[in-house]
Amino acid sequence: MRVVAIARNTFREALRDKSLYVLIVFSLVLVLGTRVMSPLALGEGIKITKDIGLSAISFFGMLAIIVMAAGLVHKEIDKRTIFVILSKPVARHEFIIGKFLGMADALVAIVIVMLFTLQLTLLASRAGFDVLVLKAGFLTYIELLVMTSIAVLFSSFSTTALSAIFTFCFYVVGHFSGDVLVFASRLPSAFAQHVCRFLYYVLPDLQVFNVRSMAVHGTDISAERILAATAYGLLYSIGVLILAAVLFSRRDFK
Amino acid sequence: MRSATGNKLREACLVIAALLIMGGGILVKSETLTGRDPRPTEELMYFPSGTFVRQSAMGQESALADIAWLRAIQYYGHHRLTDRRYDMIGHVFDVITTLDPQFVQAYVFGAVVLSQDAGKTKEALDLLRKGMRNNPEDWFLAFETGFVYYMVLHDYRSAARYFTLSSRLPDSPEFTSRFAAFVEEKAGRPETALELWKQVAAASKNKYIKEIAEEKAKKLEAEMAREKKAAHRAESL
Repeated sequence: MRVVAIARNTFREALRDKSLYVLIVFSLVLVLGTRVMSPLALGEGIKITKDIGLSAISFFGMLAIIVMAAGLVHKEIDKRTIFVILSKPVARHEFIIGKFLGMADALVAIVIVMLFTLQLTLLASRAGFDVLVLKAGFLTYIELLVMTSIAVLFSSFSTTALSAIFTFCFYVVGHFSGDVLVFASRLPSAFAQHVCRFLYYVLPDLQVFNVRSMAVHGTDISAERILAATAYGLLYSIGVLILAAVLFSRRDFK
Repeated sequence: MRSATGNKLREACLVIAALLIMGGGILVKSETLTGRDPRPTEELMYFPSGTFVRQSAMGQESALADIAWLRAIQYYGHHRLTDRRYDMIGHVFDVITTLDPQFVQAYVFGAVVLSQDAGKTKEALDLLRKGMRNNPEDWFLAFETGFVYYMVLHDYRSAARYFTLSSRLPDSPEFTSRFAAFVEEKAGRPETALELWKQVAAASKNKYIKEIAEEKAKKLEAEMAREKKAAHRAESL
């Protein structure tokens, strides 16, 4: 119940943030703008609308995390509201989980608005309702959840600016983690190979959630693939949140 | 009251000053910067390699391929209307198809432009082979390869092989097996070439491919009519 109260408050706070609306408006303009570009695309207008629409969900969702989630915990410390919250019977891990769930709710709202606009644009272009776009949108949301958990982790022990930078670095690295494994196989030293393999498993593999190209080209995204990616994303997020809770509970507020 | 009026006047002056400064900027830009249209060829020389862009796309490869596709169309359209030189077109289509290996229309359009307009048949065939490697089940790419062999290289045996391959792939339309048979029986005849161009014009949604195919079909028809006339004249003599 206490977790729900913190989550609800975080969600409300996120909705009050004007930058969220700016991001949503930007992405909607981008999706609708693809219809204007359509005549220049030589018959590939629908593909471009789907590509840009799905990329906008991922990109603007990530920006929303950097703008809002990176300061989730630190803002409370900065404004000293953390003392008020923690003086009540609220465990520190409940605070972290509540913050994460509130941000996850805000992201649901963002993704639904963007997906709805994308589907409407596709319907208006006579491309019809696309289930594959929904599947790709869902996995993009799971990717955003993983990134939110990472932002909460950094926010629990560093400043807003540093959290934003670290989160962005993890986003970049998360798209290269597959390459780390390839890199490991080419290294002469066994120790370096083990380090690379360790990094491959520890860093988030965000390419697992990238089925946007499959959705655009009409390749079926199997239920197994969606389930496996969702399970990976949720387990990874839970792991990161436990770590965040441990770090946060060790902090000494004076 | 006086100070409020003074404030309003000051604000109005500032707005006018801002507009004048911006206007000056626009004037300088229109006088010196516009009209200095950089040659699209030079511009595209700085297009990085597809592999590099793919590595740094952070999951947005497909959207970047679309942006490159729009640029490629602009580049082609510009040169089609001006000097008809397409020096960088092969590189751009290589980038697009590296970013989005399933973008079949990019392989097809790239191959048509390279083989018909740029005179780079080898590059066209390389692009189509790359497409077939990435999309082994796609009949259109095999058909297009047969088309290039037939129309440009006049290698009728290879053309027949690719048309037959195309006809055996999933969802291939009836005309692919018709052309496979045509090429076996009537290789080198202008009727077959005319039929092929007409088929390409009818099947393509791409405005430029349609234009090229219709142009070629018209040319062939005119040539055939001329030859017929000449034959009639020879007979009457």
